[in-house]
Amino acid sequence: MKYFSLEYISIITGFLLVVIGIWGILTQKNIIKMIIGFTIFDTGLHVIMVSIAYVRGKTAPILDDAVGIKDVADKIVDPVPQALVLTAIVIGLGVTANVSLCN
Amino acid sequence: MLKNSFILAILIAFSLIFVSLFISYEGNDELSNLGKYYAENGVQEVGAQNLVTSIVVTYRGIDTLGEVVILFLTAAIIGFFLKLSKKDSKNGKRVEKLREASEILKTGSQALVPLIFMFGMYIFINGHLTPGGGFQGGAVIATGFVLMMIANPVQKVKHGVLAFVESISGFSFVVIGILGIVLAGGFLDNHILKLGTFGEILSAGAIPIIYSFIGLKVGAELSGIVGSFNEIQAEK
Amino acid sequence: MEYILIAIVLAIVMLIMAVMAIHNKKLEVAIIAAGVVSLFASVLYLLLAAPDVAMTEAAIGSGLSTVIFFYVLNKIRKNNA
Repeated sequence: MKYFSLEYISIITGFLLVVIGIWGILTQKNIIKMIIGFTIFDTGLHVIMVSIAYVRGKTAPILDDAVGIKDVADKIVDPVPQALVLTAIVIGLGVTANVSLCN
Repeated sequence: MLKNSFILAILIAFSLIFVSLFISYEGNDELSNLGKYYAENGVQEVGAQNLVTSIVVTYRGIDTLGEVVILFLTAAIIGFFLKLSKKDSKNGKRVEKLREASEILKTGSQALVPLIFMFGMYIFINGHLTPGGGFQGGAVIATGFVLMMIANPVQKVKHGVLAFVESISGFSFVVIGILGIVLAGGFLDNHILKLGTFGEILSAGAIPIIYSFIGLKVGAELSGIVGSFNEIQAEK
Repeated sequence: MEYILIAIVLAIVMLIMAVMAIHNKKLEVAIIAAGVVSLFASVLYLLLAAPDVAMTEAAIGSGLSTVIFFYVLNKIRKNNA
């Protein structure tokens, strides 16, 4: 069964979180509920990006004793989207704080 | 009725986009070319165990500089709002007395807050060896600050000290970046110090120093943001 | 295989909490549910081999965001009362 694996499950979860977030932004009237919808939208996008970076059966991009420094490219997942998501989460907090100040 | 059908149409359109993206997704069995380059050359070029750290600090250092600037702008805007609402509250409005915290929370926070601060510093000093780094360590320090503020809500936040730490560490971050242009290959190059032995705490050139400054700056900024929110909600 | 079962449980809890955060009338329940979505997302990042992202999400998404939302909620209640 192709869809019964870690990356497919997490990518579907991310898509559904994005749809739920848009639904909240469009239908709610209270402004705090709208901002909560934005944060759920954010979380869904981050889950999608991290699960696109996942490589089947590989480990985290940290070259400690268990991984070693030879043939690293065959043992780790993609580190670039993880670095981008790291940036995006911190900026998301700043935007949330500023937007929620505006009422 | 019209509005509801409009919302439903937007949701269905998004779902269609996602379904078409999902059908074309195959999953990965190997790294992309960019990731392969970083994995193969990161050890010789940067010398950090944690590849995410070497990407965030060195390969994409200018992204990190922009992120730090965005956080600084957020903290500045919130401090500006705090000053405006203080000016309002001088004529007539009074600060409401907050409820005291319980004895257990006060005593527990006295024992826990130093440990949380020390854990945050451990995270950002070891950022090039283990998972973690400046942003994570700064966020952990800010959660310790939240605990301190919940246990003792009436105390004044010393915004002067926080602003001093923040501006000193931000200035040092930029100075180290410019030193990289002068002494080594480019902005935020970590070769201004020797790379050292792979896997030790004083290795990877200037990465521990840069990440420590980022951690102090992020911790001071997030603590300042939470402290400003605490003062804003205390006013009436 | 155990990872897949854990991921399924995490996904179901996250989706239920997200619907609850949008649909519940009480604002406190909505804020806590949004925090729980972030917390379970950080466990999912750990399963997806991204420990750095997991640490950031656990400290910022479910810690600081929730506290800031509660401060804003307190301020709005006081202004309306």
